[in-house]
Amino acid sequence: MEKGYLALILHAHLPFVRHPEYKEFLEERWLFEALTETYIPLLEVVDSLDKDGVDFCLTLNLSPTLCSMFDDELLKARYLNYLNNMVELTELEVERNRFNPQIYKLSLMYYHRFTRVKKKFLNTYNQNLLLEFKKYQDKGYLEIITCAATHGFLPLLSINEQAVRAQIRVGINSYRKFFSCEPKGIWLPECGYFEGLDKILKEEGIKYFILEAHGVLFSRPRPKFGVYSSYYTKEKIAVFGRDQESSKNVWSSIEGYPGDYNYRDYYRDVGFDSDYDYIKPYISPDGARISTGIKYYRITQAGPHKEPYSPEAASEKAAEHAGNFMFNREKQVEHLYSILGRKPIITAPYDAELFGHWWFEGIQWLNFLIRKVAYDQNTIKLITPSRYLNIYPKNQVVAPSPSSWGYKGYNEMWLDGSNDWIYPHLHRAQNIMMEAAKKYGNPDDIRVRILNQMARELLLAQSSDWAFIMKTGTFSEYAKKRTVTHLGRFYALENYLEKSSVNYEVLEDIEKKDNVFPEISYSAYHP
Amino acid sequence: MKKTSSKILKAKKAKKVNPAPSSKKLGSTGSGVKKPISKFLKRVISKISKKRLKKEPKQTELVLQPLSSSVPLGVLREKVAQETTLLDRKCPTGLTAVKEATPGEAQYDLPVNYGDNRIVILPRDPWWLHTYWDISQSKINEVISSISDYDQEGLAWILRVYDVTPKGMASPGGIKGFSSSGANSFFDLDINSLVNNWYINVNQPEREWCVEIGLKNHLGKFFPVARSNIAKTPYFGISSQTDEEWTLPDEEYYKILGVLDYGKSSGERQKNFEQYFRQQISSPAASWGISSLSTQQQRAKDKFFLEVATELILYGKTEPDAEVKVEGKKVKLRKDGTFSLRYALPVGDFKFEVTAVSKNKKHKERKAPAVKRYDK
Repeated sequence: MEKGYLALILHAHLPFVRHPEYKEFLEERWLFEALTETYIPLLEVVDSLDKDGVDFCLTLNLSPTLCSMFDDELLKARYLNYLNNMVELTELEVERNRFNPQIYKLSLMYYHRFTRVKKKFLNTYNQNLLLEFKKYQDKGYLEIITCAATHGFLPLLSINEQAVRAQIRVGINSYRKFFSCEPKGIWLPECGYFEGLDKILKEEGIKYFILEAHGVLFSRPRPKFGVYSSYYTKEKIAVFGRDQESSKNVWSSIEGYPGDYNYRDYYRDVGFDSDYDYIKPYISPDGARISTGIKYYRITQAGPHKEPYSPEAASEKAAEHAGNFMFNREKQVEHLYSILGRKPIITAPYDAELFGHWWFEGIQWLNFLIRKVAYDQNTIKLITPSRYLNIYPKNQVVAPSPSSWGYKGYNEMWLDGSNDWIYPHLHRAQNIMMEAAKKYGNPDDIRVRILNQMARELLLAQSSDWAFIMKTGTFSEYAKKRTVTHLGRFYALENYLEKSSVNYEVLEDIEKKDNVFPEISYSAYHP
Repeated sequence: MKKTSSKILKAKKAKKVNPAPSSKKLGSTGSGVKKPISKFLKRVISKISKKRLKKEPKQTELVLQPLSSSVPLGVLREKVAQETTLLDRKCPTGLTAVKEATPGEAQYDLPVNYGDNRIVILPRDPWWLHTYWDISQSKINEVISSISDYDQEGLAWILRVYDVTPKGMASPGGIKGFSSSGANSFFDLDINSLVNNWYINVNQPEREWCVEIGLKNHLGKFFPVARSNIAKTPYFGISSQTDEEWTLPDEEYYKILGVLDYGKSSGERQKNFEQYFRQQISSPAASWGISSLSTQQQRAKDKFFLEVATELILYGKTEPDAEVKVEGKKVKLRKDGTFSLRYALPVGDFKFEVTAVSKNKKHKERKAPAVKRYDK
């Protein structure tokens, strides 16, 4: 009989990036790379676990913007273009590296990878990944949870409660559309929590959420079981706290597994290493060198010297690390079980894109870990938060601490000198949106369209990703432009309502560009 | 860690702005007060605009395509229907026509301020608040004109920060019906009037705050211009408050937290744990977020370097329908029968056997160039 549980939680999210006004758009690659390196390989692992009859469960958050992009015809077509282009590049690479046996082997590996992913996407999954994920939720392997509509960082939007409610309600509606059921849990964007959020979650029908460790540890009163149990807020919404130890093993690029010298080096990439004229058709449309995903070297050591990558050695390491992770969790659970008097839960949430994209071997590691937990020990069992609540429906009631899992644990990542200028604009737009929703109680069709599109623009401007990118520097011009553009479109539309006159072509153009959440209803802003 | 001698952290943006040529004091004589203030503020506003807008056109309104085909909402559906019919009937490539008419690349811009007389506070962490404000010139004039000439001496902008935490376990939301005299305490911050936001070190977790922006004169008399919302700083630290039904002895409790050797007394352990925790949550590795999609390459910047590699290009032509093989592998020909291949060329001897067979298999050609790559 098991003595405790491990809840693996993957948070998959990308901001809505879709630019039909350009033939090609660099930032759309975020999706294409994550599809190729993370989402499709992850589905392949689930396929194989299902086929082999492995007993397992995973909690997976697919953010509403990500689901919208999975479902978008233009992005699907562009993804196929991307794959064709990459297959073409790997074909050239196979030829080019013929006289270097080690690299030649790796070129072939990439050639097979891209052709396989293309085949899977086209033939096996029929370009409909959401249906595949849904299938595994229906089979009981995955517990898919929702997220705020555009991953808005809720503590900094909460000055207007209705704006937070709309983020959550639109997210849940989008979930219902894709998965034909109610989401049990929510991934709070960046684990951002503020006092009173639990009440909104309750009203929108959410059963549980996940916080960073100190969000639970700093609860009032003191949470008896640390982060190793569920708790209820006074609204009877369950909360789970992230386990620091298991997260560090995987997250930290220095102390954690991903920094192992046998693993693939992220930075050496043919996009940077190849002759410019040769690589030009495969890099940024503006000619800037970028990462292509074709990488031939392993981390090797701290310095610039790199040795060729060995998939076999890396694979062995991933198995070893999976074993190590499992062993540590067993010890942890044994220790906690002896103190707590209940079976502990170890909540281990990760950004899904870490696996495969950053940590190339991470997907394999996950596969090994799940299989080892199923077959090699009896101390721990995989679980999802809702199943844990079935086992322990009675829990201590606490008030969790406002917190986040970002740098320094609170709001600073999204509120500092680089990005604080966005809040006066966002907050004002939130108020205007709410007032407009109230004012036009029973509008005609065209006003409904305008109001709905205003809601989309506001939500898109609220994505926490823009503030995050402004802070981290890379792509910050793009993030600024997105914020200004969505708010600009929002005010342009509001102006139509004010003046009772509309430029129909502009409206249609905006609707076509920002076509996220087609089912949206601006009434989400009406209390 | 966050203790600074002053209670103020200037916003980064504020630093970029040159200090005002005049002092922060808004005037010293009764008669000349109103004019200098408005001139001063105009200068302030224009400075901020310059900084914010940089290369963008100097304007504070939204820029949108001219509303050439603006029509009243009421008649819109009809009008659209007409247009659509028109496009369908006369222009088979209707979409293109619409597209030309649409403003594909509207450039948007946001106003520097809205003049809606607001001040807002946001908690940044357990010790700091952020505040921004947007005060119109007319509001400032209105407040100043209500101040007697005598009291106008030495007016300067301040933020008054009130602790409005309810006593006992009252519900959050601040002291009910808070009036500035009902606060637990307050402190004032002189602010650089060139900016529109500030970071305030309140240095106390789990308290509720309210901020007023206003003018203070040489006698310390305060004239509020706007009052903020109430916000609470987040909690920090393990609660000493426990729940009877759900209590573990301290000894056991710190074991769960993985704090085994952090001190003997529970107070010591708690202190050490909190220190450890501050470090933990400051670790930038806590979230990769979307930065994991950054494509910048890392390289040790301090070292000069040179990397050289060689490649060989093999190219040729034949009949477009012929079959060409290089080292036994079939090569794709361009429409004109030319081909070109590119090889990374390490040190060593290399031979390239190229064969071509005509479509009817009657003709066959063979060439075999060889190269030697070595470092001198």
